[in-house]
Amino acid sequence: MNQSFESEISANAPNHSMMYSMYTTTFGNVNFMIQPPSPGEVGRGFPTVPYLSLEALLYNQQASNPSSAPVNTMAGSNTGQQVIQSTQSANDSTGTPRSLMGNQQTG
Amino acid sequence: MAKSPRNTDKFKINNQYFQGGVSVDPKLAVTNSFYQSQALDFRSKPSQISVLPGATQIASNMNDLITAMDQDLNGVRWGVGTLGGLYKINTSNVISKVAQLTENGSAGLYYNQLTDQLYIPGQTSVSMYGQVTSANPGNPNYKPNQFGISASQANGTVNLFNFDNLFFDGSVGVRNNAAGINTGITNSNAQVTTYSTLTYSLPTTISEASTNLCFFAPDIEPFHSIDVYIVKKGSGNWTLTLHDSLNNSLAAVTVSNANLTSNSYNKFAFGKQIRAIVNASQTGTSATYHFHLTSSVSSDTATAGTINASDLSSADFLLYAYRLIQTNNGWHPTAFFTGSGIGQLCIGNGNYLSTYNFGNDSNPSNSQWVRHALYFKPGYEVCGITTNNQYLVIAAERRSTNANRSAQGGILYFWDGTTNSPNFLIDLPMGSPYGIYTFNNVTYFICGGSLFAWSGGQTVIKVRNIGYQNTDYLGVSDSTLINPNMMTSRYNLLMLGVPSKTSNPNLNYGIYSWGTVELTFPNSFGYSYLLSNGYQNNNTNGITNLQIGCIQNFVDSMYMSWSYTLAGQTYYGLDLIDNYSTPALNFSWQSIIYDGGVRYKSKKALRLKLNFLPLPANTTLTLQYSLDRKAFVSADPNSNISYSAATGDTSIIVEFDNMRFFEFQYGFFGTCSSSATTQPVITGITVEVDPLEDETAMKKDYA
Repeated sequence: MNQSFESEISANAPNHSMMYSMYTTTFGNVNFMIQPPSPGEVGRGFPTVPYLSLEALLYNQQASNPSSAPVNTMAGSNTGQQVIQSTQSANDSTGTPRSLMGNQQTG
Repeated sequence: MAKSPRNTDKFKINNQYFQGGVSVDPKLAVTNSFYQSQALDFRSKPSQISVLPGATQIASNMNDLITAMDQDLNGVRWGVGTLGGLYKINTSNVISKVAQLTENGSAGLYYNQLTDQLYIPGQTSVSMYGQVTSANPGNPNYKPNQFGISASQANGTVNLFNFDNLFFDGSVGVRNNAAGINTGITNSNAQVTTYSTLTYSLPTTISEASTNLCFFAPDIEPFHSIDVYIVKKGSGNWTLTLHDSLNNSLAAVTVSNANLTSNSYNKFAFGKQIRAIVNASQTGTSATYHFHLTSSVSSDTATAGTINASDLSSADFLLYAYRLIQTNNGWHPTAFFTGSGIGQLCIGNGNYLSTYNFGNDSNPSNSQWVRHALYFKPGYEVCGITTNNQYLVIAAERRSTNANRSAQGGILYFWDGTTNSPNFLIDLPMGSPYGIYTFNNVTYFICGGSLFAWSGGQTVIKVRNIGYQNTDYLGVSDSTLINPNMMTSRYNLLMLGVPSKTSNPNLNYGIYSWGTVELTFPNSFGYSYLLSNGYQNNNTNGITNLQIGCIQNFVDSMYMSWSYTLAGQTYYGLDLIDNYSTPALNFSWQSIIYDGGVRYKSKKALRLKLNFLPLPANTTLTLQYSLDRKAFVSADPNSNISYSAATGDTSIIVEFDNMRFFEFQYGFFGTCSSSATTQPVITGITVEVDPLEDETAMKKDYA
């Protein structure tokens, strides 16, 4: 297996699209490849491991595990009603709210 | 007929791109990495390596280790040292000491451009210096301990306890009317101590009967003193004994009779900080403390002023507390934060965050200077502060007082400035989060010898180790510490000053760098700047206690403070790297180890060539190699002629004679004298290898 590191710059460039980083906090570095056993031939360069962009990792982690908890909406009937001023109502025929509007910041 | 040797294919291992930076492993790394570099720039133009500027010592008149720096509006830079010296670094980089704190510095310093004042936390108080730019030139005013002790104004210490509603509500009495002594305590309650009409006569021994103690629920700590209103001092010496709710003695202070004054408040100073549990609710569930008053003379006429006759629990007293806690780590890191909508000076204060809204520089009240804005885990102390988005990020550590038994544990607290507790935290059981610093909105810190990053999400990310992954087989206790201000950014790269002090000889002192110059290149790591004195470890030339105080970059000028001890004398200095710096005195580079992916098999090196731009005058450059991890060789073993270049050369080539190897590593090193004005630039290093394809047998090395 010839490993010409001079030609592998593109393979090690940071991911331009951070959305497609193959890293999750659950499964770790999906990009990581088990280094195969050497075929026994003298390699013409150094072995390399794929570069893992810190920025991609941070972006991915922010998306998958936000430090701020998601908005907590309560199921079922809630005190107070908000009716969208249009031909559509947020309440069903029994008057039970079926959607909640607004934002709850949970820190 | 015997076989003749085949002329097998040769090939070359060529290094002429270097964007990978320094690797962790000696063999396995991202592309175009190398194993070691010192004082080299491999990022600005990743197709070459050039020598970075070296640090120059700009002061030899210092007697302190600067641990925090800031710059005023006029470009004058200021530094405060561990021993409390305040230094001015003028626009010509001439350093002068302008003030001496009455106590040690604490790695905190903040310049407020609006007030034109420096705010300098010491160990127990905050001093000020200013106005630094708008006052009469050269005549700013030094205000030592400007924010010193202050008296509690809380219900739990001012009001008597109401047993009916379990609150210190003032309805059964107010202890004092101390408006005249500048404590900020004023009230109009009619049931104020009348000083002289009702009194408590001092016994000679302590009694835990309810009328022989004065209990209170403090809102501030650590205690500095208790002032008691004495009606008649009598003839004996007075002793104030402080107890907790279990009657454990926390402190006892005796003041001789000669030093007491009747019809006046008399101070019983503990002489040290007394830590306590504070509870802002000031109710019956608050932690309470109490004190006793005794006289050394039996049947003394000594009396203290009280609201109720012969009842010490209604005594007229004032509780004073230090502004700052004297921490084990000795630090009070500072940061400015506007999370609440009001600009606040935030100071790490042991297991608290203290805030100051700049409301009254002459004598801030306890609501302007809030000692306990945030309450952290007891036993933890703030070791760094930074900001990230809407959060103030507070790093806290467990700190042992035993240098050979370091504590392990840290926490990152995040606070948006509006709540009375941190918004969330991240536990760091792996160790202290040192040198915390936010760069490109990623918060970095050093923990257990490794660089970590956080920028949202639940976990912190370990980036890489810096000098070591572990201290196995070290043979000494690892006592590595990194001060609060040991990271800075320079030319869009993160600079890491590591360490502040260490017993680990595998960790070289200096400034490491992390980052990239272009999106398509990876973040890389390197050992970039050394101390001007060249010391990288303790025990070099007999030096001990080598320390780096802080690093701070101002656009093109980066400072690094240091100290060391030699022959019983401690030396201090401040280094500067700027546009006038000459190339670093020493530089070096080592490739990762080449074994062709077949460690078991013998290979042969034929030639080694180093290419560079014409070597500048007053510099040296020498090729080196290591065979099978032995010591590097930089001269012909037979002729002893060095593999060095001459001024103007563009290459060095070494031809080997049957240089069989299993592992081969190569590199270069060089020097730049102080008169060198141009830095060496390396453009490539190549080794020619014969794979010895016919030699495939598995056999003992070199058998």
